[in-house]
Amino acid sequence: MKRSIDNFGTFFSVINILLAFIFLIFPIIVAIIMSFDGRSYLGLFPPPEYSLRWYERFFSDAYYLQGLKTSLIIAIIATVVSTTIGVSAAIGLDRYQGIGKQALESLFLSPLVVPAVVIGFALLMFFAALGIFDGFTRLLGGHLIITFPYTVRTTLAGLVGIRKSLTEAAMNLGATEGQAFWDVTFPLARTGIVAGSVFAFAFSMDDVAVSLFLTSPQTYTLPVAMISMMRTNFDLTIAAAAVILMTFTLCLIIILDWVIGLDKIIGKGVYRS
Amino acid sequence: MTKNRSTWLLLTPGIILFLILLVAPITNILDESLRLFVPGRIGAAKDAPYTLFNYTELIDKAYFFYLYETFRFGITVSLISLVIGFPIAYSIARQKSTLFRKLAIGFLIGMMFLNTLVRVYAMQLTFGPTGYAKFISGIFDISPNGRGYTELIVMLGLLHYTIPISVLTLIGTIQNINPRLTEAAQILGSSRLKSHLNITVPLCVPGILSAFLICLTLCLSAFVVPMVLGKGKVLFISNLIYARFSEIANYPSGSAVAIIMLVVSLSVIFIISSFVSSRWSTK
Amino acid sequence: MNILELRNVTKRFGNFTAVDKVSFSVQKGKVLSLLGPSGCGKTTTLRLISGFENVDEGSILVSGKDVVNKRPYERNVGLLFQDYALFPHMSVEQNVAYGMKHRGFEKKLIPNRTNEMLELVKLIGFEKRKPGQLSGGQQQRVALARSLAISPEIILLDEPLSALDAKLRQELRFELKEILNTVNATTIVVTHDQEEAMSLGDSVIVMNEGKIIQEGHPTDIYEKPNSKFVAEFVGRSNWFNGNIVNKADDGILKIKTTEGFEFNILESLTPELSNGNYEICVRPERISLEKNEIIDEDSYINLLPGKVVDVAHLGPDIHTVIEVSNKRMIKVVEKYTGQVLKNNGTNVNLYFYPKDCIIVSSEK
Repeated sequence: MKRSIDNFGTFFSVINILLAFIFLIFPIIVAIIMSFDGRSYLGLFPPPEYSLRWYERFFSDAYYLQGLKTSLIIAIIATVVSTTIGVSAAIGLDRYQGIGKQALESLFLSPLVVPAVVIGFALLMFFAALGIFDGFTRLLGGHLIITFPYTVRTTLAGLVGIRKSLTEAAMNLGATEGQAFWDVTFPLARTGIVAGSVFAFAFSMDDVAVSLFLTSPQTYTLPVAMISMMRTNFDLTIAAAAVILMTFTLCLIIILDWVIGLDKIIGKGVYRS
Repeated sequence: MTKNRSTWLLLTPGIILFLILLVAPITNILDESLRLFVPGRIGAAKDAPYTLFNYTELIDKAYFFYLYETFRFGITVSLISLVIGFPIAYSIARQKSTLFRKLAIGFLIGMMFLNTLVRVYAMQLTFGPTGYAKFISGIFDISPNGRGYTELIVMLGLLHYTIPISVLTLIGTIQNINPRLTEAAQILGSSRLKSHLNITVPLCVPGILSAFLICLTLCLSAFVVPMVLGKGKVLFISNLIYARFSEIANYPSGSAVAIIMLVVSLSVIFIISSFVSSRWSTK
Repeated sequence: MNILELRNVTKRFGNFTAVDKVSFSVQKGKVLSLLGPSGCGKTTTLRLISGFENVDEGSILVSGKDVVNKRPYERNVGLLFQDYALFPHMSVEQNVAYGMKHRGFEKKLIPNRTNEMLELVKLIGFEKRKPGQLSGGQQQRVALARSLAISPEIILLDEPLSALDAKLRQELRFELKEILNTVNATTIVVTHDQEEAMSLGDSVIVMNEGKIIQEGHPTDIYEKPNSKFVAEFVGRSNWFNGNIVNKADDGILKIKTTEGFEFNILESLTPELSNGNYEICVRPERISLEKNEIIDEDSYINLLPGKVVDVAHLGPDIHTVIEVSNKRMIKVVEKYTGQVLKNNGTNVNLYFYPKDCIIVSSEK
């Protein structure tokens, strides 16, 4: 009786995993396949013939390309600045033992819990009050604040795992606090810092809600371009854009694995089975 | 340089960043939300009088509806994610093969990193009129153009994001449960299924609640998914804010809604987190 | 010559006094063991000497100069951490060379000295390995080499042998002593393990609750503990409580215990006291179960009749538990030399000399 319950349970579990996997991957596959659709219009899935026309359309469309360029530039700048300030803040947080440490940590991680729409809207109003109407500046500000928590969080997690005795050993052997940091803490925290940058870049490229509020007609990101196209001209060029973005995501995952090892991101837990 | 000075020097850039890009803007819209909206003008006048009208105006069935809708979707989707996600997380957590773990986790992180637009667009292609709309709506016996189908698609869209996240969160929780415990239960006579229900799940409750909180927060703040897949029929609070801003330019009211949304989100987080940490004190 | 001197050093954490007016000194080339239970203040003392905690009162003199205002990297003190604290991302030779780089050693001399140190700890050939590839004992030796490489004036060892298993501990204990001797290092060993403390130290300080309880040669601490705490901490004990009933001749006193036993003890080993009530400790290994081992019939030897209730053969020793009166159990440890083990229920006599009775005041 118990055995049949268990078999039942295992069966259900396997079905659950399979269905979830299919659910997650199927729309992606549909989008990829449709991006190679040979028809000149959006027809029923699956396509009867294949071609690269939509990719040609994408790469010859200045509207999309401009968006892609802006997205990349903003993502790179935001990631670099975020990582620098974020690592600095994480180190400060790790060392700070005074009152308000918890509050400061919550503050630095708060953009993760503040709804993106609220951030976008508030920033827009604030920039307007300051007289800043330049799309690029506004976008940069928005992307900075939303990427910052990622760099802080992963760097802090990396720092917390470094035994205090290591920096003390360095100081005992003659290194000043600064030297101890560069020789010992920084190399060991490197993976956390890089992981944070990868997350920051990924979520900057991904952002829609904040960017929607902060773009201007001259400066817009690729996701914003895609959304307006989705409302006006829902064709498969968007599919091509989607596949290109997916490729970016894939590259980021590969970088993450190369730097840290994906199985280590969650850690191994206290018990290894 | 003393330790204290250098520590503050490290923290200062971050603090300044936050003051400029988060604290000031939110304070600003708080102020804006308390000012009177003069129709015809963009936003509120610089010296408009203070009023609570923007808030009192929202105490209306129509606006509660938005709140209700958002929570309805959020809670349902979060619960489904947990139920589906837990067994998946368990099988990954207990997997011995490093390659499998790597692939599984890589896949899940990829799903998490996936651009929201791509996700939504792919859902649109798959479940829209050029996809399997007729097929799926046929299963549930509803019209593919009706509200029921739209709601279903919005939920699927949200699930596509929350399932990977809940699995990733739960993997961490499950890994910290001693596998010997369920073995002990089984040698005492319980079936494997029961041992998990009685032991693994109860021990994971703090982690499950955290995963629930994460999914709920994501759903409450959802913007793109309801906007694109909801086709105007399904509206979350975030869409309301956007509407206030883009269609009516009633910034004070938009600000009020934004403030309310912020307060609601933070309250949900605070209540659930306090509950978790009071019952299960962290080490 | 005193390499290290602590004068009335005090350290408080809030209301809790971790180190309470501690004063001691260490001479050049000697090893001092700081022994005590967890929380007694020995580790805090170590951190005060190395500079990772600041003293509230008192001074710490290294070769005559007060270092309390100096940062850790400004003190010429070596520290071997309990978890070794080897830099995981650096190789063995990089670890060993680290201190020399930061203390201004001439660059061209560093490789030679690194080599010298590795030879000293017998790890030649391990230069390029990373700490993660080394065993516990090897890691400890690298940590030792790293600390000694900078020729510190004094080296502090924090529970050096506690992380190793019993067999390894014995081997390493001997090697450690050899290495410290070779470089004539002035050393402080901090430990909670009395074996470690007594085997490594030229002198031992027993600490409890932030204060020094007793200081002396290991043998003195063991034979003449000044309190029940020290007696218990440094060895196994059987305790009796009693008052002096009369004074026999030849410096012998008679004590009557609460159970009604009468023992002969040496007056010379009995401390002066106020209330006449004493605690008497007899170490298990000083009690004999065989009469024919006794040489001197007139030595006022003590005798207690009893019954065997448990015998455990531990390999080189036999541990016997004997019931001497209603529920009163005495532990006896004898060397196993091939003798026949006693059975439970056998009647035996316990013999011990007055000189083997450790007398301490029953006040704290």
